[in-house]
Amino acid sequence: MTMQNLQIAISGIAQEYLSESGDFGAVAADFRREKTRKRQRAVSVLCLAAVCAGVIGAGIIRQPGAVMRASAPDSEPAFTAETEAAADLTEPVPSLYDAADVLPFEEWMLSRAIGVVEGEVTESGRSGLGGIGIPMYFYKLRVERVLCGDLTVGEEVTVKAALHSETFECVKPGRRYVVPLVSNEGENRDYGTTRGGYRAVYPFEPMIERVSGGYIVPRGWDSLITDGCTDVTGDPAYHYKDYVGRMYCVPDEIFEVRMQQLIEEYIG
Amino acid sequence: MPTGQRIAALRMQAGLTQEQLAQRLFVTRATVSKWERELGQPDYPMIERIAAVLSVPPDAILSRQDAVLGELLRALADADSDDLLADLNAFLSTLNSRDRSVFVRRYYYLEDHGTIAQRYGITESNVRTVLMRTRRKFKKYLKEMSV
Repeated sequence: MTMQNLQIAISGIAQEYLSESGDFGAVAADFRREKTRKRQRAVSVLCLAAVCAGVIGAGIIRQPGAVMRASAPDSEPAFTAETEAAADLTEPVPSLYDAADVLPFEEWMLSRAIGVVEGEVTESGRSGLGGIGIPMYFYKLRVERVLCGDLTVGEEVTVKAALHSETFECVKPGRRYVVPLVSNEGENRDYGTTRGGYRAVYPFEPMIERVSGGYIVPRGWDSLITDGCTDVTGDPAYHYKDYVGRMYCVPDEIFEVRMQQLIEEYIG
Repeated sequence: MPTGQRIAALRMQAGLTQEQLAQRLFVTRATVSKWERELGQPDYPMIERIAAVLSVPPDAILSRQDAVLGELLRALADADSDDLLADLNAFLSTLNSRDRSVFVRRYYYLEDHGTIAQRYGITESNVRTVLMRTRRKFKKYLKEMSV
């Protein structure tokens, strides 16, 4: 295939598709409807997770509204133009069931981050039990680069996470990672009431690992995984216990530009 | 002249070393070296930054059409078609209106991610994700059609 062939084909795109793309209002409304559908699906997953965890019976949910939604999913209003207009699409999900704690990583979760740092893991281990008896682990990260946030190079931060599997690992001591951080202050279903330190934005996938010439990223980082990346799934060098998702190597130059765009978009 | 050679020529014309250009772009010298040896190509926002550092218009390095269609061409590198125009329209008919419209705005109208995002009320990240997935689907479609 040549550039000339491609130019000819593109210039022959059917008129109806050109007109369709120019109806900005209709396409934008379609995107909004799709976003609402995704959000409703996410809420359903959160409710299901809550039910499965048995926390309703244990009285851990303190928001009556959340209980109502969990116990009566059929009462969700059907989607209409009115509900679309009324929906606040930027509204965060309930704090006790933060979606990032129960869903696979997606880039919008970065909006929770207070900073993104790159550094070397110096130590990791078990760290007692969390809010509802879930085992916790921690790792210490010596900051070597601050991509954003109020952190300083040379400082050592402690990152805590719930151990959802006995053998799951998301970092390995002695290696360098890029970690989006969330403050560990406050209350959370898994973590209980905590003060100080940090949590990673997402718990179910490996952190971004710094390697020579690039970065190893797990699925979910759609903006970073471009055509210039290499699929390294199955490479034992990048295998993490209990993680079966795909992994990609993103070259330095793509990572730097795209990560900065993500930070500007979601963290500011 | 290939893009890498143009970058090298304009860099030398500006009296900069690879290291100096890399520092001004916040990338490594190895990255600049890769571009110049055609082992990788910067995306268009990076070409605009390079052009700004070298005080030349972006078109002096790469035309916008070549840059935008280049990203599609690279994605389809090892795919082929006897009638690309017919295959492209047939492929577009399989997409939903959202993905198809983003594809058309990007590759027919050559709009940047930010403009498309603004038009459709979505994020730039959404636009990039839709485009990446659509390019992959198109490649897969062409491969299936050629079997």
